[in-house]
Amino acid sequence: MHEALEGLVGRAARGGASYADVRVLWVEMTSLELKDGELKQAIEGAEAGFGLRVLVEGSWGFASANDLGAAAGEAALDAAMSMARASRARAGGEPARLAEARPEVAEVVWEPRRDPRDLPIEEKLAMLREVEAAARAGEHVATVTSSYADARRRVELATSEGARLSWGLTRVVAGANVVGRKDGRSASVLGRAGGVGGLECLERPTPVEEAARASAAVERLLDATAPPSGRMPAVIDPDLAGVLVHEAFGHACEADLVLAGESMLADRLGQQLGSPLVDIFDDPTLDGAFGSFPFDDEGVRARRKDLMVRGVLTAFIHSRETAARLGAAPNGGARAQDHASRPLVRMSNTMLGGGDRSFEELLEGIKEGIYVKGTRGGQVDTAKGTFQFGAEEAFEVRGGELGRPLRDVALMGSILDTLRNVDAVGKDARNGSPGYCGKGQHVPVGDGGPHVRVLDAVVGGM
Amino acid sequence: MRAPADAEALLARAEDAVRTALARGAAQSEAFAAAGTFVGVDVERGRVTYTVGGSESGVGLRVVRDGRLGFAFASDPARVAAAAERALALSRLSPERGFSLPAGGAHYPVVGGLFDPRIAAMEPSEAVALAGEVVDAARSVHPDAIVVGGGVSAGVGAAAIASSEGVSVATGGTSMNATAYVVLRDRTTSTGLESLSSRGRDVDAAAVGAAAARMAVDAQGAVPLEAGGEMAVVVRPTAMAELLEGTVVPSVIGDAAQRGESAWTGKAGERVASAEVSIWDDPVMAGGLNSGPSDDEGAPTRRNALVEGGVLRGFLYDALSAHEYGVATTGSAVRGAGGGGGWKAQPDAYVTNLVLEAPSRGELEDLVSEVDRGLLVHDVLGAHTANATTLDFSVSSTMPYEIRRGELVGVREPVMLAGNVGALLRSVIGAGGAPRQCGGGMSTACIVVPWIGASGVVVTP
Repeated sequence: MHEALEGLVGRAARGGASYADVRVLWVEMTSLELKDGELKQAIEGAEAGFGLRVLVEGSWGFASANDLGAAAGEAALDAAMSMARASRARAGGEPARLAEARPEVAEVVWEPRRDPRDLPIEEKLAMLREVEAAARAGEHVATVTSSYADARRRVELATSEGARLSWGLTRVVAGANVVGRKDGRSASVLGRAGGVGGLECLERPTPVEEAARASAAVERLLDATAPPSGRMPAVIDPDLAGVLVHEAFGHACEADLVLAGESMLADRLGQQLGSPLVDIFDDPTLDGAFGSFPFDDEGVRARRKDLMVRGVLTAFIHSRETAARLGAAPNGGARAQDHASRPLVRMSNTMLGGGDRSFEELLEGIKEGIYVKGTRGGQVDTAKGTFQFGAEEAFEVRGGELGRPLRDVALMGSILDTLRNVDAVGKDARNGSPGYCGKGQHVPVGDGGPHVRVLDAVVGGM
Repeated sequence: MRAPADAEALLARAEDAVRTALARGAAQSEAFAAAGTFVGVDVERGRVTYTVGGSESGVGLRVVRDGRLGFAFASDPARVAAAAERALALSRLSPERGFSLPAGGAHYPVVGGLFDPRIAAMEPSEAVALAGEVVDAARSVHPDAIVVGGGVSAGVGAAAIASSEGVSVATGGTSMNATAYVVLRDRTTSTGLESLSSRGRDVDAAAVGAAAARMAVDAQGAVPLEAGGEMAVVVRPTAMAELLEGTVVPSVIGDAAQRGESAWTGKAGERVASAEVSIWDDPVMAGGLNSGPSDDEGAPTRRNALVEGGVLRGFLYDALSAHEYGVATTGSAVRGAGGGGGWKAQPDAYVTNLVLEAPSRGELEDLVSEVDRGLLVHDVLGAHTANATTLDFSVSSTMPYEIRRGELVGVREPVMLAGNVGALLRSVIGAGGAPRQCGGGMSTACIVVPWIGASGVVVTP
């Protein structure tokens, strides 16, 4: 443990803090970007910093610096204490307190099986050139931006309750954004592989396979026709299913949003809200998934959170503070973007549980419907529980068979209606593409699930 | 706030890094050293939940060897030598471009209004008191108007750029912001959002809380819009800024234009907006959120005409893209435009303060009075899904006001708005009220725009 900084938590406690923690973070990163075959960006960098959090008479102060010297520690201690005292003046009659969590003493380092530091940067660049070539396979591909990034993070956390933790992990991501043009139309698809771990995260699928998939999808989109609109049965692929459960359901399970009155799920724990076929969980312990971690940024051991079980809402995602406010047990859901950010309630890998149907069985019996794949962004109102997502790709389904490709398809509606209308779940659950979730701070997340069929989905053009 | 390193100390740090790189074999080198401190107060559920603050500093190092460019960064001054080694190693991967780092000796403009000692001296208690004003002001408009999110933040920062080619310049200043997101549960549930940023201590925190609460109060009792169709819109500055950020901002970047990725590729000299509309990128405007005498690689800044009298005049370049396409830099190098510490990123051409000018019709009411049938639009959701190549957008607006025969006749339930930003610019009716600096979007761009009226948006109730 970093000695000069570890001592700060005891001194904060002696100075009047009911709780204090210090989190020290070291990051080493590499990033490469190739645009149309030309190296646009090659960056290597290292950063170290810490954040000190103190709770004084129910009010929080948080001070950070990217300087690990003793003087910076002293300054942060003064600043955090004075900020906590300043907060008190306007904290209202609701002092913050923390739910009980066992102070752990542990060191966990997830060593990558194939350490990216052992691969010379020339070979990383050579891999990107293969990615670029695969992305260029399509006849109408105009622009390809391929990128590779790895980051090695090491965290040390000390709390005034006696926790002393150290953990480390590596994250790797690579892929290509493919833009195609034909007859004045344009289409773009992002293909990306990655996860927590080393270069083994780029094996299933490989970034080259993802680039080829994106290239083929762009070609299909350039020839696709405008979609029908209205209510119809829809089969949703693992990527879009994952994004749907993350955006439209997972955020509403974040206990800080529940407390703020911004979640339609408040007061609904224990209620049957979805089809009995629906299981949704958030699991930071999934091997290799992009949003995995061994401890959250409050030092609570990571664990799977079953949010919906057979359609019944069973849990929210908590920090120690939200757990105390809602009378729940902490479940390891507090994450910080970096040393300079305080922990917030966040998701990790949010997954729809698997069922027993094959993809063909999901299509069977659909007279007229739609198959939607991937996402190109959208919007969600967690208070109202409504969403609108653009699908990356879509196909018509007629007589149980896949038909023509469709473009600019949007899926919209109410998330609870959608979960109630799930009538069949595939057995092909898998992790979706690696992604980043923004909530004031950006953190890496995973999501995914199986193919799933929704009756009565609302489909429209974008 | 604790004072960050001053300009002189940063310049010394940058010059030291330059020497370190040269000593390790760089033919040219350039260092960008930055330091900043900030204080922020978070408001949630109508109360202050966190006061945060901190300091950050670091050095980004560019080197040229054998005509090849390399870059690395370090937060720890003790690791600058290692960063120099990495930058030199990375330069081997880079194509031989014949690129030379920008030369020094330039004359820098004087830009006023960038530093306010009252912000630099702001203590946490003062920031908390301002956040309290945001909360109280909202409640004084309506007792149930709760600031569920927002707060106050303030920062002071400086950056110095030094190079082997004679660049030696420092920039920096102060800024502050107050934001209120208000939820009002009365007859119905309604929301209001207001956010103000400035380089000076002149942000009126109470006005921010009150404005957000008033929006929420006015949005009570929304009824469905009876009929949609194509109509005019009068768009709030912040919403217009969101629409422009995902469409016009990426279209005015030189590299995108040269690669055919811009909606305005090959259209220089052509009419792209109404003859009364002009668009500038203005890093020398006094008090601009992104103003400064130098860009992020030491080139002097200047006001660049992008669209003048409706005609597309040009695009923005940094030194590298200018070299690549055989043009001159426009002094538009920005580091970390997508967010993140500037010293961790290589410079790239980007927008600083994008100013949209349209003929003023007077105040907002005067602009509304020119609309026969349309909507007053306060917010747009999903602007980031707009297509930067075609400028098409499809967004929703949560609390539009219907305009009939020049009068606001009432608030309506959420609607979808579909259109094209290029078509909007060609059909501008005029501007209302004073231009406002809108920052805090997905990128570092600041967009300076008044209320804008335009026609031709398809509205679906």
